[in-house]
Amino acid sequence: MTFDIKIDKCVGAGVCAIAAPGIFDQNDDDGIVVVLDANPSNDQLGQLRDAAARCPAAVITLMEP
Amino acid sequence: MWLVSGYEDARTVLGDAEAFSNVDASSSHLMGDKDNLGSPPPPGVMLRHDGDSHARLRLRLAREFMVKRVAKLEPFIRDVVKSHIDRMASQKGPVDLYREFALPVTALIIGEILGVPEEQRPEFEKATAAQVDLSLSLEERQAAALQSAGFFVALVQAKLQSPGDDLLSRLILQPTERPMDAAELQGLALLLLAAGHDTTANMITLGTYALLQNPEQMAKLQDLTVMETGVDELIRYLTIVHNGVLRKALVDTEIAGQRILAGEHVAVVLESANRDPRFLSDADKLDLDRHSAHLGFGYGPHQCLGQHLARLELRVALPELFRRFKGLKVATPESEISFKNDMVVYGIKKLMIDWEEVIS
Repeated sequence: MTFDIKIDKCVGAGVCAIAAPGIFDQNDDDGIVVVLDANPSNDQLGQLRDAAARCPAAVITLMEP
Repeated sequence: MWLVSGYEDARTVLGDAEAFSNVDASSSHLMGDKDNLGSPPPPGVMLRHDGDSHARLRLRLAREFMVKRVAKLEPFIRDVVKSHIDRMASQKGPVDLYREFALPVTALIIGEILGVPEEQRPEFEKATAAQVDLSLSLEERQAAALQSAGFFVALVQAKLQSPGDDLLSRLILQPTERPMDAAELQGLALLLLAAGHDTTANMITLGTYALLQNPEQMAKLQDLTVMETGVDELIRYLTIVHNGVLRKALVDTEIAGQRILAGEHVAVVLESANRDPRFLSDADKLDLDRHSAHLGFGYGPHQCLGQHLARLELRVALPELFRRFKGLKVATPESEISFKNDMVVYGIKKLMIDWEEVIS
């Protein structure tokens, strides 16, 4: 599964970084989302869905195949 | 005034900052203080700012509360938790967990982040605790709030003159197009104290109580990893920000089939949203193994900035309390425990605890 992020909406809450630490991190300068892995494997899918559901600014959109 | 109590509707309101403004996001609606509604947001108090004005403050602060930055505070948090447990252990029980542990521990941690000098810690701790001490009169609490505001005026002045290595100093030193002035820094410091002190203190007290009430959940603390996600379930179950967070409609809109007109207020009740059966089955049950997209820290662009700090404080403090105090128990009869049902931040006014043995 792939995903899209709307970085302009990110408020640096860092929820994605705890929900899916292998996929997302935060920029050192402003805490904004950094994508570590744009093509997560199937076993990371649960974490990716969790990150998308919990992101307070709805930055992450999942692209269902 | 509308109340929004369902989970999905709460997310819709809190997630749409273009339709719902934070300008009146204070607790005025609870105090019957309608005159305060519509007053301009104080400088630095980003909770009450919208759009770019909010983003400018929020994005300068987000880095200070990032997951990896907060993680660096763990040794300090462990030290403060340990020294306060030692202090309680040296007294003979029962002791008030809220006053002897939860309030001073959380005050010292937010003080460390803001850069309160070590020699001023006792004064800081005293003023912050008095502000939320319900055994004091309203006048005494207001005097303490003034003292605390004065404390921050002096602290900001000191940091402007001689910056150190702390949050306020970094805000002063970082190059930016629009630097924050003294009034903004003071407003911000007071907001961070209000948001980060008594909230977490109430979570520590209530969390201890909830675990004692649910021994099968308490037993799970033996597994040291359970709190990594279990802490979020406690935050959902207890949802301490009570009685509704306030938004003001900027446009005519509709929520749950109800027409809401521009200018009307909407109070989003997080504690009921977090127990909405359409969101979660058995939502009235505490289950530390549960994983959910709860609204305990709110939702939308104003979601709690200090959430990772709160998680860390709880993850350290709660298991350590249960580990050190063997046979930990509540020392007050159930009927005498007084809950803060009428407060913006829910909690227990006083929780006397006792124990059988102290483990080192």
